Amino acid sequence: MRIRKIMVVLVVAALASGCACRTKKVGPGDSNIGIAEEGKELKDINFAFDSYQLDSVARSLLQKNAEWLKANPSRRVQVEGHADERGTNEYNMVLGANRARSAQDYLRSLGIESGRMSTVSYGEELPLDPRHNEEAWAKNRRAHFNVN
Amino acid sequence: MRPNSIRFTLVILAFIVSIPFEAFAQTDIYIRGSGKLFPIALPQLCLQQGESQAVKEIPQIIARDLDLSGYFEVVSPDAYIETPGKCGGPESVVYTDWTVIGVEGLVRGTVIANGGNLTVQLYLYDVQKRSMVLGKEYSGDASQIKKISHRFANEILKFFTGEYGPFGTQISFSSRVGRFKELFVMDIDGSEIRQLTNDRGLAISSSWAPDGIHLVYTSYRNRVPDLFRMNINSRSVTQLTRGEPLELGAKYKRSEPASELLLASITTGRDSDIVLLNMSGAVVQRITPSNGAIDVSPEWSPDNSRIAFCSNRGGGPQIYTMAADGSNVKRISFVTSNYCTSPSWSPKGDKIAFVCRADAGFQIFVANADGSNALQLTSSGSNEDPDWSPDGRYLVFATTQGRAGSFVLAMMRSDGTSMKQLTSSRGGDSEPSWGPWEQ
Repeated sequence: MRIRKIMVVLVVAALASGCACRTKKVGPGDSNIGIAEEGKELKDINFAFDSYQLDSVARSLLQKNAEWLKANPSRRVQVEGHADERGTNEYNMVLGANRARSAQDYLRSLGIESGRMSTVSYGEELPLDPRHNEEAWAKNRRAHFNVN
Repeated sequence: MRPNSIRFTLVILAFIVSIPFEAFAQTDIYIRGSGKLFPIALPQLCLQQGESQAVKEIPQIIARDLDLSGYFEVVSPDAYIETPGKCGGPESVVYTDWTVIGVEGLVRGTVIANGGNLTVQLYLYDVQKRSMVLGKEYSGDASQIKKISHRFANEILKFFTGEYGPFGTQISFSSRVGRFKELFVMDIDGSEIRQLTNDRGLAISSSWAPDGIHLVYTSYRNRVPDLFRMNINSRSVTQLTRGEPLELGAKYKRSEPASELLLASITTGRDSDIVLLNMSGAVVQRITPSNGAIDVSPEWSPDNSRIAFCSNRGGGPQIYTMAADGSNVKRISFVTSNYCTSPSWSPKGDKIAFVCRADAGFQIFVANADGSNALQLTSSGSNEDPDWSPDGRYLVFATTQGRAGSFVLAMMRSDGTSMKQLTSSRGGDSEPSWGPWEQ
C-alpha cells in the first residue's frame, strides 16, 4: 500500500511538471502514461459497450465532480478515456477519446473552464481490472479524472 | 543481422549461381488449396569441407518454414534411415530409404566452409519420380545462414505451389513491457524478437514503409499520442506530429517507395476522420467528412485507388470502402454482427480481411473486396488485427485461443487452416503488421 501511495505521488508530480514540456528526456523510472486506479477526489464514470453517451448515473457523478472543481478553483483535471479489451485496439483508442471528450464537454456545460481541463485516451491499454469477464469490462469502460 | 541486411542481400544475389540443375523446369503444380500435407524430409547436410553448424541449422530453419507454410508435414529425423550428413550427388540417394518411411519430398545439400565463408548447395528431390527437381547454390558468411535457408524454403514453396513464399520477411507488433506497451519486430517464424522502442508509455499501431526499413507508429513517449517514424536498422526516430489531434493507423502508400504521404485517422473532439498527412504531420487532404462518426483504421488497396476503413456512421462499427478521394463509399461487411473493425486489404486486391464480434468473441472473416462471399475463419477465443503476408497466402493476427484471455500472435492460411502460434505471450501481443519482401 505504501509503495503504491509513493508511486501515485510520483506520477502526479511527474504529470504536474511534465505537461507543458514536450521535449523531455526519458530515463529509467520515468513513465509517460497514467496508472490504472480509481479516482479519489473525483469519481470515475462508466459507459455501456461501444458507447460514449453519458447515462443518468454518469451525469450525476459529473455534477458532483463539477462541484468539487468549483470548490477547488486552483486545481486542474486531465480526463482519461478508457475502453474494455473487447474489440480492436485502434477503434477502442478512439472510443476512449470520445468518452473523455463526452465527460469534458459535460463538465464545461456545468461551468468548468476549458482551460482547466485536458483529455487523453488510453483505449483498452490500461484496464482497472485485468480480468476477462463482464464485471471487469464494466469497470474498465470508464472516464477517469486526474487532479493536479 | 538486420543492420546491414541490404548489403547482405546484394552479396547473396551476386553469388547466387545458376547451376546446371536449374534446367529441371517446373512442370507440375503439386499442391493446391488445403488437403493432405505433403510429407517431406530434411536430413542434416553434407559437410564437404571445414567446420560449420550450417549443416544442422539450415535443414532445421527450412523445416520450421515448411511447417509454418501449412502445406507440408516434416517427417521427424528420428525416422530417417540414411546416415545424417551423408555426402554425394543425386546418384547417392537411395530412394527406397525414403519411400519406406513415407517421404515424398527430400531436401539434401552440401556445405563448404572456407574460413568465415560458406558455399551452400541445396537440392529438392521428388522421391516418387526418383529425380532432382530443384537446385540452388548460395554463398555468404555464417551470419547469413537464416537468409539462405529462408530463400530456399521460398523456392520450395514456389516449386510446389507456383508462388514464392513469405519466409525471411518480418512482422512488427506491440507487446507489454511491465505496464507499458513497446514496439517489437521479429522474423515471421517468431525468432529474433527485438524491442524497438523504450518509450515507457504506449507504442502502438505500427505499419511498414514499402522499403521494409521504416515503420510509422503512434507513441505516447511525450505523454500524449503523436505519430513517429523509425528506421529499424539505425533506430533513428523522427517525430511527425505534435499534440492534438490523436493520429492512429498511419499507412504508407503500398509499393510506392517515393511517396511522402501517409493515410491516417485523426481524432479531434468527438470527430474521427480519415486524412492524408505529409511527413511534417500536416493534413493535406481530408478524405472522410466531419460527420461526428468514428472513421478509423484506414487501409490502401494494393493499387492505392481505394481505401478500406472502419466506421460507426451507420450505428455500430462496420467495414466500408471508398475511392481514394472519398467518393463512392460502400459498406462491405454484411456478416451477422453489430461490430466489425480492422480491415486489411490483400496484396492481390481481391480480398479484405476484417474482425467481427461473433461466437462469444471476436472472429476473423475474409470477404471479396465488394463484401461478397464472407467466410468466417476463426471460431474460438478472440482473434483480432489480421494482416496479410506479402504473398497473400497467410494472415498474421492476435489471438487468445487456448490462452485464457491474453493475446499471442499466430498465423494461418487465408482459408483459415493451419493456424500456427508464433509468440508465447510476453503478457499481451497486439497489432501485428507484416512487412514487405526484401527490396
